[in-house]
Amino acid sequence: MVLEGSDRELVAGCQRGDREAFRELFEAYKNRVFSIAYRFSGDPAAAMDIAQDTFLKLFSRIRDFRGESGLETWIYRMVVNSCMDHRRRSWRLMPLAGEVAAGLRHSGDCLAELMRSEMGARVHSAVERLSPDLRIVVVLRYTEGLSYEEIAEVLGCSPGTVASRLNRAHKALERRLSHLVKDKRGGRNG
Amino acid sequence: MADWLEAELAEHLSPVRAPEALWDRVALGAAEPAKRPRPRFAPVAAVPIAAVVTLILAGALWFMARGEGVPVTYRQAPVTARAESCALCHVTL
Repeated sequence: MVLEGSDRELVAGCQRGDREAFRELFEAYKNRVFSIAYRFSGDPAAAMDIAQDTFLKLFSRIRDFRGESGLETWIYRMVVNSCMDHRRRSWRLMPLAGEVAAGLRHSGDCLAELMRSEMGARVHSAVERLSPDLRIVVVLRYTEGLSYEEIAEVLGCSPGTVASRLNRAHKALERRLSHLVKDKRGGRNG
Repeated sequence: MADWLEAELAEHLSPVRAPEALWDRVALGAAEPAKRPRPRFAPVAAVPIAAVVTLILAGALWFMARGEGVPVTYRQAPVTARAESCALCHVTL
């Protein structure tokens, strides 16, 4: 059992069916689960579906949790699986709809804010175009700040595989975004 | 990896707050029997489906039109002759 004291009590409460323990677990992990779902899907509605699915699975399977891995790792695994399931089940109808709406909301702001928003939209779009295997590594690294070892434990692969996937993702993102950075610097200079 | 990319990814992929409605969704989902989510219909998928349907229809029309040029001839034979030609089906009284 690798659980720390507070996590152990929380898990024990959930395994007894204590509603308060479920709520506490939800409050402790809701932002992390939703962040991964949102950064992976790029869509708030899809992120809500993924997060709901993750917590429902989590509550129904917590009795089977034996503590061989940390609670956090177990929850990360669950949200990663929900992301992949969601990806298999659905297609994105309008990948850029969210970004377009965000751009419209920012239309009254200053130029710098617009450029930042534009860059954000391009980064999201470039990340969304990565294959799911590369995208989830990028999300776990930059949204959750996990180390290569932690990502490897969540995904059930070696740290070398994580490093290789991140390297491929970086190269693809660099290729897709480098012209924007040049434009940004050119705009500032000119 | 370029420093600018690290900075952009860290900035634009930062964590977000979960909406307050998430707990209601989870509580509602826990109360309901599990439903299998339906896959969303993608207009992109309609293009190959429409192409296949068009091909099938075109093939069927071509197949029917091919038969129109061949005249169907049927020589009328006297009733008695036809009846005599087949003793199995027709009984002569």
